[in-house]
Amino acid sequence: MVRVVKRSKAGKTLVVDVEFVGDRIAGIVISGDFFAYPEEVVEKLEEELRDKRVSEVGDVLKRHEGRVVLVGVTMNDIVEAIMDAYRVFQRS
Amino acid sequence: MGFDEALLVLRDRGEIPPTLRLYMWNPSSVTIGYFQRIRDVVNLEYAEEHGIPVVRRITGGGAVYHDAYGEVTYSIVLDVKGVLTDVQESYRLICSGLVRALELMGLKAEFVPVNDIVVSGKKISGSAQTRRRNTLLQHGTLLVSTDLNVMEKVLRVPRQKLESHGVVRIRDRVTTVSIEKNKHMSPEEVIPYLIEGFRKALGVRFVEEKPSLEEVELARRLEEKYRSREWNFKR
Repeated sequence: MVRVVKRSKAGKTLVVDVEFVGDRIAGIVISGDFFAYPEEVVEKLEEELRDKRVSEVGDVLKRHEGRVVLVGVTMNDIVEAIMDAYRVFQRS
Repeated sequence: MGFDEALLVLRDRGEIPPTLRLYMWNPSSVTIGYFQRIRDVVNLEYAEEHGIPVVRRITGGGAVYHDAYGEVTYSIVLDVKGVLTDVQESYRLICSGLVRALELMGLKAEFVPVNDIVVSGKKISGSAQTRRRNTLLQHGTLLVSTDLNVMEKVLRVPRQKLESHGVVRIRDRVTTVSIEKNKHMSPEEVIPYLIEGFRKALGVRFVEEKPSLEEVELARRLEEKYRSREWNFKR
């Protein structure tokens, strides 16, 4: 499990805990002190990211952009955090 | 927390009027944001040892220490219409009730987006909001005379968060009404200011009422969720 903690421009904390198997996401938890409306979308995102290739992350998150209002973090922050986690995983 | 959710559900069904609730916690408790991992943000060993319950909110945002003798929690349910349609603007409008209240107490307060109110550059209040079809619930904390020693021990704050504020300890980042007034104030003393602050900010008249039977009954039914390990440890 790789953990990345980021501070967003809006001053919120975003934490991603990702388990990689090769270039696939075996499991992910997105947490922090941000806001999302409706809240359940974040759990749906985590489910959809499971078993996806890292190269697909951007597309998966983009599909959710119109379905959720994020406050304090952006979809791009989440994509960047997952990519950072993958880079850490590759180095380990 | 069950009572706050009950207000949201009942207002969304049109069964109660828009409502402001002001309350204190007994015993002192910690609430965590919907998206937070409980072990990341709470010192669970300290909380257990000192009889401080921890409960997950239905709203996002950060962990809050609710001191039984030094904090007031507000919650408000309003219809999502007009300026309240926009999330950020709704935070600004509702938080202006707290800003007004603090001003009435003689303090210069400022709303800092997304959800903070600061006095003398330090956080004195934080709020969090969730929404249903037609209704929003916003609740938040006002630090009146909170024991910052306990707050520092029971809350875990990510190093990155403290660093981004240029501080090393929570107490360098937060303040209370009593500290700013340089005299002890109790939660009970600030409640009239809060009512007046919200009245001015929202341009409404409040009618004080006891909780209705349906509010109490729904809150009781929701209590089971908030007491469950499944809910509180879901992250």
